[in-house]
Amino acid sequence: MYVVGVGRISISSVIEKIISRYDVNEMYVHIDPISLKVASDIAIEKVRRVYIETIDEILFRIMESPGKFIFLVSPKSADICSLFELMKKIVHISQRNENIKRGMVIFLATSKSIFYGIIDYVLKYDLPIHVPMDINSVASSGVELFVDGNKKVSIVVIEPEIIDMEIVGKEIDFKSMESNIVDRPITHGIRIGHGKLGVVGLGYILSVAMDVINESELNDRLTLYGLFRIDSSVREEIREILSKHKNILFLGCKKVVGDIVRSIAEDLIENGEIDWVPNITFAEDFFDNIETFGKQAIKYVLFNVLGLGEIDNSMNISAYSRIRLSLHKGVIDILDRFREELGHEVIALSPLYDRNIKSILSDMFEVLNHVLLGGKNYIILAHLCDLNLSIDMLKNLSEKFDGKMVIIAVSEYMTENLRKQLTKKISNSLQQSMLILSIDDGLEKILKKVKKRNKALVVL
Amino acid sequence: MEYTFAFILKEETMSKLKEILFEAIKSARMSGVLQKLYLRTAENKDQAVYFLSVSNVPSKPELSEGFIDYMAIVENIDEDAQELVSRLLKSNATIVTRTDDIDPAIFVEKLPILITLDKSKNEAEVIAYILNGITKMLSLKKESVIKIIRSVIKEDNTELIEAYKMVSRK
Repeated sequence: MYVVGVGRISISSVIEKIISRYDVNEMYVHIDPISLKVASDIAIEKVRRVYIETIDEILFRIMESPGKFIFLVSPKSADICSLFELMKKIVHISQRNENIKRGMVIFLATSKSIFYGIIDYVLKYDLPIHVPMDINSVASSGVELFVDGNKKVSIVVIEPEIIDMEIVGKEIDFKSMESNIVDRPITHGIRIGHGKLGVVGLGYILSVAMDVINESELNDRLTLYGLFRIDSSVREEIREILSKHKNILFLGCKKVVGDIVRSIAEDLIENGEIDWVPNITFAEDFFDNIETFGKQAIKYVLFNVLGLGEIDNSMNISAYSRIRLSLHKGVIDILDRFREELGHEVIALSPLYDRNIKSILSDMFEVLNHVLLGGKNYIILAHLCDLNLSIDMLKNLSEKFDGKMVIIAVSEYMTENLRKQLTKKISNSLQQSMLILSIDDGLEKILKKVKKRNKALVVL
Repeated sequence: MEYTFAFILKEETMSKLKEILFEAIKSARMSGVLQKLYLRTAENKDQAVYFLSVSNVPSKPELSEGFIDYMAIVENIDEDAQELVSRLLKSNATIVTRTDDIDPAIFVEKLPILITLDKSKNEAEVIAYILNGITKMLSLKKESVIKIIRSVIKEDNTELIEAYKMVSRK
């Protein structure tokens, strides 16, 4: 006998379980498409949802009153710096103030470059963060925060591979996680094996490496160090690993710890703490173009470094993970209709995605450049919240662009209230330069109106 | 028993199929991990593929040649992407596709079992074909699958149940 929906784990279901188990009373959702998508899959009703338009707002929300919160945010590259300035403030205030909320700040990294960008800032700002290696470790970050009473705020950075993953036939065992936290002190990571080769991994790649090590029985040939928590003590940990092993392999963290590792190694040699030159290898150096490591890729690297024989590298398939929002049939039909009637070039603003759209640009600044320099007529497809986050840029676009342009604003995963609120805000800022229409007016009517005006924005 | 499936489908179709497949995996007392990844073709284009690995313990899908037991391609994909996904297939793997969606010559090296559906088949019929193939591999009875479909879609007489009954009769 089975029950529909039970025994499934995804990032949303884990957050839902944390909310329910630890009586989290407020869920702050940054108004960006990915955070809204993750939040829309969280079905629990007892939590109060608060939509956060500007990230500064979160600071005031947390300080309002005691309680528990979860904050979901999916930053764009340009926002990471300001987010970390804010996180620094939050962590400092939480250390000094008893009467603020306790909670998790969950960064949803939509691509590896954003993930590395976040880790880079973590090391610069010296903020403690969790980097889960799988969906289970997201749960353990929640357990650690809400069961162990020492910390007020926990920052969790989730990689795209984990956001886009679902597991069926397994449940999260919160009880054993809770007893582990009570029984033994929290460590920065895990250590597996007892071999001479030191292998260091961070995040998702670690879970793939663990699978390979178990399946290939490499436990006595290498020691795997998994970093779960990153803060200033990471340097100490790397120092310790470099002092123990002559051969060290780093998995998937060249971009963030590459320079640090080399400088620590130099320091150790100069101070006479080690009498050898450590042989440091990065897994990324084995491939031309790799983002998401599969088992085969990890196996190839490990076997190569351990001298266990050649594994055919040509078998490896280059894959990567991106969190994108594929267009639904309804949106595609409307888009096709506009394309047919107007004949303009279509461009889309990420994370919206459709394989038939050739130009998918990453931010509004790129859209602005593309449109102003392109000199054609355009249909621009974007999520309503991304337009709202770049209203000034949108204004600029409508004032400076001489050609014809229709912006189609997708409002998927938004509540009706939020849709209305953002439409009103955009409408107030653009009313003189652009015709604002809603799909509720009817497609044919809209098409007639759009043909008469040079610039229009249609909210779906 | 360990299988890896790959799907190149529209997100809406995949989302419906996923709900039923997950319940089927649970019913077969197995675990599954579903992951959406993008493959990079030689021409630097993306091809989104859903990978589902099914085994006794949750295991991440493999990303290398010769690991896919069953693949459904129900979208028109370019030749470059077809060549790439053909590398993923095991020898004698099953491919479910529609007329003109793929060029069978690209896949011939893997000697696949090719099930070509007519272009006119609707979404329910496509899902029914895929379900029939996968649930057979999971050793699930036809009656159990119908129960699962009913429990997921929560309606008795739907297009999908009829389509599944029709497909599984053959």
